[in-house]
Amino acid sequence: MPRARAIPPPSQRALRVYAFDPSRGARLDNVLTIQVPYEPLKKGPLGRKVAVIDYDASNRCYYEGIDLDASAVLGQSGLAPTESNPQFHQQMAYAVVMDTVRRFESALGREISWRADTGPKEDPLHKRLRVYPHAFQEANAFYDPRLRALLFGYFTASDEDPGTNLPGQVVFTCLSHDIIAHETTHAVLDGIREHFSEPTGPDAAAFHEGFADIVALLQHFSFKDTLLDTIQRTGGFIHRRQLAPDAAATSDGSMIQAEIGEDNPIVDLARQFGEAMGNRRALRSALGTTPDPRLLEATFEPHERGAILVAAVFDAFFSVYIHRTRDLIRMAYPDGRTIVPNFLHADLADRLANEAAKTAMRIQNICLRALDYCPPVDITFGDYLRALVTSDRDAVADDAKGYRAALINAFRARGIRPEGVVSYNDDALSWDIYGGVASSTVNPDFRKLWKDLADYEDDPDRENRDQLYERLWGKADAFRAQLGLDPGVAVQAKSIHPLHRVRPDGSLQRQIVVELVQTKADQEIEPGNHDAGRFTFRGGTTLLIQRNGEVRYSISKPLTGRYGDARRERQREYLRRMAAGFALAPYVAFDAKRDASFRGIHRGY
Amino acid sequence: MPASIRIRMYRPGFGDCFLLSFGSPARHMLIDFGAHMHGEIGTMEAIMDDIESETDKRLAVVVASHAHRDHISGFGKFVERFSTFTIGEVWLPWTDDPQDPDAKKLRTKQLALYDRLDKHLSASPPAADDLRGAAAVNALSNLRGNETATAALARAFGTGKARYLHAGADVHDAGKIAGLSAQVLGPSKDKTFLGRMDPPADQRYLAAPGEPANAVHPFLSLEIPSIAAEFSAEEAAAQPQVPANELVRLHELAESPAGALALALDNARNNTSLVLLLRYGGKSLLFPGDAQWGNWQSWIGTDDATQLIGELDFLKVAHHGSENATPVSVVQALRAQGLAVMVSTQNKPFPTIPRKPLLTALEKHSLDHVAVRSDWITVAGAAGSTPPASLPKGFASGPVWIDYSL
Repeated sequence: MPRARAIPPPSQRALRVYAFDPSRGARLDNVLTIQVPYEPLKKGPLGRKVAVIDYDASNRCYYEGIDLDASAVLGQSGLAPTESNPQFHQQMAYAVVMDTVRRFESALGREISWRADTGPKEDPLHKRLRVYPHAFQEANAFYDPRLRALLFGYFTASDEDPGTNLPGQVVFTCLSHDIIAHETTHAVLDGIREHFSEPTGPDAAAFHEGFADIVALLQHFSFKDTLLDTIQRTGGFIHRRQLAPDAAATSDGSMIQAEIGEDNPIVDLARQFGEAMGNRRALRSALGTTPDPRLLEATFEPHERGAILVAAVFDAFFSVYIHRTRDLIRMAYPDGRTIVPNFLHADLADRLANEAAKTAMRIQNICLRALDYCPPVDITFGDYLRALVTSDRDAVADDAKGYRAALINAFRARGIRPEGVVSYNDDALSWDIYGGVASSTVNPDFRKLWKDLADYEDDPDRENRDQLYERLWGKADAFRAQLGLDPGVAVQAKSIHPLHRVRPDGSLQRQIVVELVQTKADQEIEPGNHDAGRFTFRGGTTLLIQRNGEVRYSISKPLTGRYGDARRERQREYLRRMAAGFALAPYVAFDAKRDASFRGIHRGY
Repeated sequence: MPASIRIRMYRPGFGDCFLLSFGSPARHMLIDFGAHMHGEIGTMEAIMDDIESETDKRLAVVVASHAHRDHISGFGKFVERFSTFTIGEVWLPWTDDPQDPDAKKLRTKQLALYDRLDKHLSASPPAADDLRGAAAVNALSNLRGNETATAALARAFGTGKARYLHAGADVHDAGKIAGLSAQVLGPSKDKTFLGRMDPPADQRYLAAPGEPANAVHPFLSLEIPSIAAEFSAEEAAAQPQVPANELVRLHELAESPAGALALALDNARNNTSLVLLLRYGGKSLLFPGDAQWGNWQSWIGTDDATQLIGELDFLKVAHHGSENATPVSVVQALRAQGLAVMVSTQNKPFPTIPRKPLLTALEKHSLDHVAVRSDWITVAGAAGSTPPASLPKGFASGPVWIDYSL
């Protein structure tokens, strides 16, 4: 009879990854050990949420999957970063996907699920995101909603202009921390708001891109070593695009690596990818240009338009950080001396790094939580600003640290104007508190449904969802109208989620979020012109429900009525514009479904 | 000296050829001369003869708007005859400049993609009922066999001087024609615009089936071509594999969208079109080549541009009257009526060209509500369209041409 205390399974699994991508070389700050939630894993890795399948469709072959539970691997925090072993690639893809998922779950206060999987439950891959680290030979990576898969390509770097790569060197998109986080975010967002991938307006596609970039960029601020290096080399102004060289060059120019200044890696995205494509610079940056309120009116390419959203969020982030650290700077430099890069006191640098990391964490929580406060369809940047303000007000009543003010100012400076909002203050920007019929009067049994909700959460599928909705409000027509839904059109309950969120002050907030959608199929893009194509028009409402069953917010995009009609007109206009800008238009007819699809737009990282 | 202008639109088939004659004694400018490989109608010789006799073999300026066959094939086909001309200047878009590093990069990329697409599409041609595929093959053939023409243009037929122009350039007394000015509106050298002339980033490996693959094998020794052949049943069960019903789509996603790429490449080349606003004797004429949406986007939208479009007296319709080669906002900005409009077009080989709604919209602004089409010129064996009973004021037709004098 053995005598030993039981050992609980570990709560976390340590895995080594590249902090950025292989192009930054084996510098110390480019290797990172991240902690992902522990789960027993099969070869692949194959876990509860994610299946890494290393199939190469261009070469029609497999690479053997890694066993992360093998003791040789477990004992050294996973394989060491390398480009030459596909098993490390599998490990890194798994680790970064899981880390991204964890961030969403902790901010949202619930488990996330991928786009609905209607396949058989016995399927070993059921409800798992497929991750193909070497899907094909192509300078691309994307999320495919139909396969519920992330596909990462690999390619050879440009011969003429390879940047820091060797000409002809193989570049793996699955080794770019940013690209993995970006694509994972597409998948998570698609699971939370399936209809955001539809071409409803210029903001919808741009939101997907911008949001994915925000999540990818915010991860950089948890890389302590890089952050410290950036703080030293920018004199604490981490938003600056250039890093000072470690040693000043003489008038003869830079002679060694240490004398060459470089771009700030913290505010750039996917540098190796960008350089290998011959663009010389990272693809996008957190802060591209001075804010210009007119830029939004003239920018329609989803990545470029999304960059405006990214710039707004990072403007807020850096502004709060500067504000929060002014006292430290004053203490360190009481005589008003200018800070000289590379000569910060180590303690000061450390404190600044902590503040930056803390601020990034808060901004990330604000950005992610706001998702549950977004309407179910037809997202605009203005809606997102309202969601940011409302969700943060729910979490923190006063804005002592100035997060909301900074966000509002940054959005305003970029011309992001929520529809129908008269002023840019907290109160006006928040969604209106629901003031309609109380749900307890239409459904007195509401509280009893809590238990069913809990059951539902354990095993969510469509049947349960529709049943639950039917039991809740299926028969309450009057209530429907109050929620901005059309009483004459069927309602589909896209999701019902109980939330358990921890506020910054430590208190627990419990709510239910419900997504209700109505659909009108087969709308003509140009009324009366059958050749111009058709589209599906949707409306819907997001409900945030208090624990006692009463609706707190009803965030709706009506299908019909004056507002619904205006919205449909705008969508028509948008689709016409897309058709006009469609590259193949001279020779083939524009097809809204095929040519304005998620895949069409979001291909090309 | 009367400030007269005569614009002669020839009918080369699916292609462009415009001879402009200024003043008296007339000095000449030839804008484009080409026909699509599958859109020729046997008029090229007759056009060449007419150019020769009209100009007395003297051309002050030759413009080649962009390096597509349907705009330059004549310069290759008749290179010997053009060499006997006295040619002042040859105008080309900056993207053709052999010295410009950005242009070089652009051409290398376009060419590399062309090569691969060509191999791919000839090895696996699209099915007969695949309209998109057929359009792609036709678009691609427009890039083929232009070497003689481009070389001749680059050395300005030995007698003249080649000039590479970009948006923003202003040429006064163009080609030494007194009073003729040219404002270059496209192609732009702006960084954001460069991308619109780039072939798509989506340059995956395009292997023609059955061809020796020059694919990269990043981990050749670790490849497992068949799990069943190399793994025991137990090992195979442990290795995660692509579900059978998802394999087809995965392969589809990994395969080349060759058709779409070919059309995108065509679009990229069209966007390198030299867009010229000519002014002479108080009249202004716009020749946009085959500019597509992206090229227009680089300069329209400002108040200045809107005013400039509103003041036009003559418009050559871009890209043979296709769908998105003339933005709606441009049509709307045109003068309310009385504008002379010419479009060189025919519906072979692209059945979707010209686009009717566009021509209808243009007619509203046109002189006598007529947009004059080159396929009204009757050519034996070539399908055309029916002209109105009489041409609007100022227009006259001949054997292979329609003239407009202003």
